[in-house]
Amino acid sequence: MYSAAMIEKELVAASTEPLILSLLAKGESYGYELIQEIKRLSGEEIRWTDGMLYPVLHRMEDSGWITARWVEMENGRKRKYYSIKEDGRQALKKKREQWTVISTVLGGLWKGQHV
Amino acid sequence: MFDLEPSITEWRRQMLAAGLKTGRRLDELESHLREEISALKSAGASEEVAFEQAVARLGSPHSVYTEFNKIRIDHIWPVKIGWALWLAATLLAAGGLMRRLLLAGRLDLVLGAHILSVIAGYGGAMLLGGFGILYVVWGRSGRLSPARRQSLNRAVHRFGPLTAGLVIAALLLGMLWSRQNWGRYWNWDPKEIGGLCASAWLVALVVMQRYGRLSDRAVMLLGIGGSTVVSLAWFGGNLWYNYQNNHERLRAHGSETAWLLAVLLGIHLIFLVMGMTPAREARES
Repeated sequence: MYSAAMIEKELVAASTEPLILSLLAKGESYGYELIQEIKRLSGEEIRWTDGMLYPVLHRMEDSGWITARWVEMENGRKRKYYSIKEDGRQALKKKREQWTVISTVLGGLWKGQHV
Repeated sequence: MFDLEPSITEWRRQMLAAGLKTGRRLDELESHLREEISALKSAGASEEVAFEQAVARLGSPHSVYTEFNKIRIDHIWPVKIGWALWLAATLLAAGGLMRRLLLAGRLDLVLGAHILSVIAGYGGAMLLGGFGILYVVWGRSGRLSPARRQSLNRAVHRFGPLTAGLVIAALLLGMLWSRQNWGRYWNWDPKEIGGLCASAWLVALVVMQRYGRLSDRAVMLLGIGGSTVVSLAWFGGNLWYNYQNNHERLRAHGSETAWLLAVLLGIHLIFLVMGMTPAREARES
């Protein structure tokens, strides 16, 4: 489903929803922009396969975490903008706690270790 | 000579052929494709190369279809049963109504369509309320799994506009019948006021769910509220109307209708209050 230059695809897949929710918590956005933003923030180490992001966005919409609206641009084209809902913020809070636990445990285990 | 627009039309055709039937999904993918083409052209690629690269990055029609297919929602059985009961009740009511009108020798199409849309629309609103009640019960007992949540959300998303449309159609047909028979579109009678309130509530529910940032729980509570308003409009409207215009009918059926209304209001009130507290985490996936 995903391709990643450096990070394994399972890890990329697991982090997709928290990444999308975190980006949308900063403000509404659309699919293309989300992909570019993740590429930029990860230094191109996380690369979502373009067409595969949209089913995830739609699943999150069905789950009631995000909502979408079509916006007509100046050039007459339309873009679908997504924004986070209250349930999405709750889900993000939960995911953040879980990722923090994992990060803390790994950080503790690797402290002072040289790989 | 490469021409972008026919190429995009052909790309859409291939996506449709692969099974991606939803036009809105395809519109979104096309919007993405055009963004990518613009970016690649800005980086110096020719239009043809930009198109080919953008299509490749988006994925083959088959792979995109496969990914979308993974998110298809299988409705839970209470939702399926609810749909089936609603459909069966509507069809039975339609058959019974036509039979009565034919036996009475007055086949009034406007009146028939009005009554049918009232039954289908009000019945649909009560079904929405039922979905809301299920949400509250599962939420309170910690059994609101993601699959149940998604199914109920999708059911309200799909069924809400249909129900609102039927109730609005009922209101408009009632106004037309009133104009034909009483000379005025609007008479401020209890049934009309009830229909207006139900229409307004259901339209608000649909707008809030689609464009608002309400939580699932808030939408489900609006569904229970809609069912409450419809109970008042349907049974309360009849009681009030008979009190004003038909005392004989009120004496014959008034107490039964009043009891039914009281029970319905009581049930709705209980679940509305229960639903005000947040749902617990699901224990099952």
